[in-house]
Amino acid sequence: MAIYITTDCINCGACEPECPNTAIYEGGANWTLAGVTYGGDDPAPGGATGFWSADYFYIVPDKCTECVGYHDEPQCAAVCPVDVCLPDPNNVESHEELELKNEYLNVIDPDRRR
Amino acid sequence: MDREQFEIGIAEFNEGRFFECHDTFEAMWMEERGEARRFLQGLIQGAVGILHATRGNLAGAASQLEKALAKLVEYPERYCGIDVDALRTDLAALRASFGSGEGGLQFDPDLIPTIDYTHDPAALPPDLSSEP
Repeated sequence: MAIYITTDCINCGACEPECPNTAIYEGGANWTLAGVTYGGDDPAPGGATGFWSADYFYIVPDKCTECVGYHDEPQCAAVCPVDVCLPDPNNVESHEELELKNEYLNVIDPDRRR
Repeated sequence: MDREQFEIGIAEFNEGRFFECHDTFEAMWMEERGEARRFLQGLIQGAVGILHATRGNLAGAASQLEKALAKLVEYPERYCGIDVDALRTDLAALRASFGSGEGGLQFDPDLIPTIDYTHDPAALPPDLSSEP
């Protein structure tokens, strides 16, 4: 996962509709990928854990491409008024890796696109 | 960016309606591309920091207040009619008050600041006017 949302999120929801990969979910909500629905304790298929939040918007690691393939910069960060959409230092992905991720997502979950 | 909306945001801040205040300033910030953009964001983060504090999220409050101060320090003592120097001082005092106490981190709600604002057209930057 390249972008994550910190716990000083204000829950304004400005980020969620901007994500072209529908990778952002409201706190407490289940998330989906390739037709499968996941809940709070479920790890992502790619192995990531601990990204789900009951209280704040969160980003699903397997679905975030930092907007590579769509925009010049992550749109969630661009529209966040309080700068809580930040690069995840524990999950650094190169531009090439993000491009490949987006291509993979287009194969397994083409309906995710906004 | 319009003055009426700006003054609504200030009133909401001073009435303790910090979520509404952040909403008002956020709408302005989304449209603003001039020198006031980071100032508006500083106000938003100040309001959100206070809101987090009142909700018991002092870690989030501290983060937002620090971000607010980092932006507000870029502006002069008075800007857009606001006493920025006083606001910076008050937000810093609020941030500094997040000390340990019984039950963990606490803050003093009496330190929640208000914005000292004077309607002064002469103090406006070129891109903040009475026109919508």
